[in-house]
Amino acid sequence: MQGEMGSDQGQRLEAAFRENRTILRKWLIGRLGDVTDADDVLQSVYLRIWTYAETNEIEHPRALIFKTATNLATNELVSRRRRYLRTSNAEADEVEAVRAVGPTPEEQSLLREDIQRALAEIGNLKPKVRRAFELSRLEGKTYAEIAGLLGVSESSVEKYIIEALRILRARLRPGEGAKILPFSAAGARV
Amino acid sequence: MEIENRRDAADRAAAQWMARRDSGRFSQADADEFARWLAAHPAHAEAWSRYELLDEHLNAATALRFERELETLANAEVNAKPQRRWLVPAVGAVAAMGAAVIAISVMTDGAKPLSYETAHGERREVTLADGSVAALNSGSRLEVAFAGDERRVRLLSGEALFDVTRDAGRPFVVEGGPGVIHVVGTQFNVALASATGRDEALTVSVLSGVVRVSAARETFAAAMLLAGERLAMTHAGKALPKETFDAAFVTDWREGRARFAETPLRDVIAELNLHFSQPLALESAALGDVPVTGTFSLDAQDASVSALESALQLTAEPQADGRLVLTGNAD
Repeated sequence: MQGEMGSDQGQRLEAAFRENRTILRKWLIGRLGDVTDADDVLQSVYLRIWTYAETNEIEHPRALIFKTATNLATNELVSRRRRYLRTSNAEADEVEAVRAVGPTPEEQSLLREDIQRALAEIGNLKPKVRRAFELSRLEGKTYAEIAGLLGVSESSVEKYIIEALRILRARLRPGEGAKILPFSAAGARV
Repeated sequence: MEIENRRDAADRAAAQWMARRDSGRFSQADADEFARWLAAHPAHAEAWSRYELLDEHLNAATALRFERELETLANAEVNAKPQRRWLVPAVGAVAAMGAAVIAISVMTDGAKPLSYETAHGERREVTLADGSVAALNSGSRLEVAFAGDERRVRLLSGEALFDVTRDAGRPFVVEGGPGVIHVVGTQFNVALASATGRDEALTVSVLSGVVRVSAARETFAAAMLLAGERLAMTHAGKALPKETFDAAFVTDWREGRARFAETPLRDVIAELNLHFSQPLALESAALGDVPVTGTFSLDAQDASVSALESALQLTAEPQADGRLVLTGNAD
């Protein structure tokens, strides 16, 4: 019986799942554009929170559910962005390109203030650059798809993305002066 | 000056690599070239790590934006309509079950799994090595094969109600007919066709917690069931739509009773026969349609048969073959 979650906590979690399931699923389907992916993420949310709750007190179940869902949806989009071609002719094949385990509910290493600033800076990008960047980041679209949507060439899209990254890097300077991360095998993520 | 230039060139190249990586057409050849670039100079790795940090910030920004979006959507929903109330079935604690917890295990040598069985008409509770409790319905067989990293059991026939102790490091897995049930720590009922008499091969009903049901042969995407939800699966491993259920009915068998609400007599008899020593039969098929509402004892067959007789105007006639045949009184 070790580590058993209080039945009260279990019930509160269940109630929160139930109350928010419809809205969560609706949002996930809208965001990911795919019912199967949305359901997969939804299940991961349940499992993750349930496991987390076994060893942690949860004060605000709904907030935790929303945070976990948005983190996992973000992860899904990251892995979509990083699909890569095995050979020039092969179908785009999804590779284990992202961290196998995404952000956990308890993971809060980044400062909220920095993140707010990042959001603001994305808003300051030139319209076409911003649009291309958001289609890539918020919808996981490939450059070919973005090119079709914006009516520009694929290489233009790539240039927009490079521009966005360079501007954001210069304006945000994350971690500057604080620490220089040692390069690790994480570089092999691609 | 040269250092500045190199730094700037490395920064530009890192941005190009990140953009290329996210393009949707990053090939193995690109990956190889990227690895060579990364290893070519420490400034490259340094520049790349700065972009990775940026990437992490941007992902966090995306998640935050999503969170706000979701909050807005949820709040709009709440304001738009009155909060729905869900019926949460009340379930008695398993600890309050029968006083006697019988754990008769047929210990076999070494690697063979433990096996628990109930005879026709018998019900029994077993406490497993991890403290989880399995209540077995009449005519059931359960095999227990716990390993270091997994608690796996197989329901080979009948029905079992599980109350699983939580152990995040050792998942509890139930195999039943065409289905596999992954348990996150909870109380749930698993019934095979032999216990339900229904067409579906497997019915999983969750009383508390969360369970994940999938097909043994991956014929459908896994379904997540919350308390008060039930899922039936066909012999082919196809899941039927989830439905809600009244928990009280699911746990009745454990209390030694069966309750019916407008249930056709033929289904009532099928269920009672799982427990009765003297099987009931119907004189005519038409009788099977008569709806039955009421509570019957699974242990006192005589009383249950009398109740059926008086409620439905039937007479039970013992036959030479041991069956009790129900005949209508009216005609």
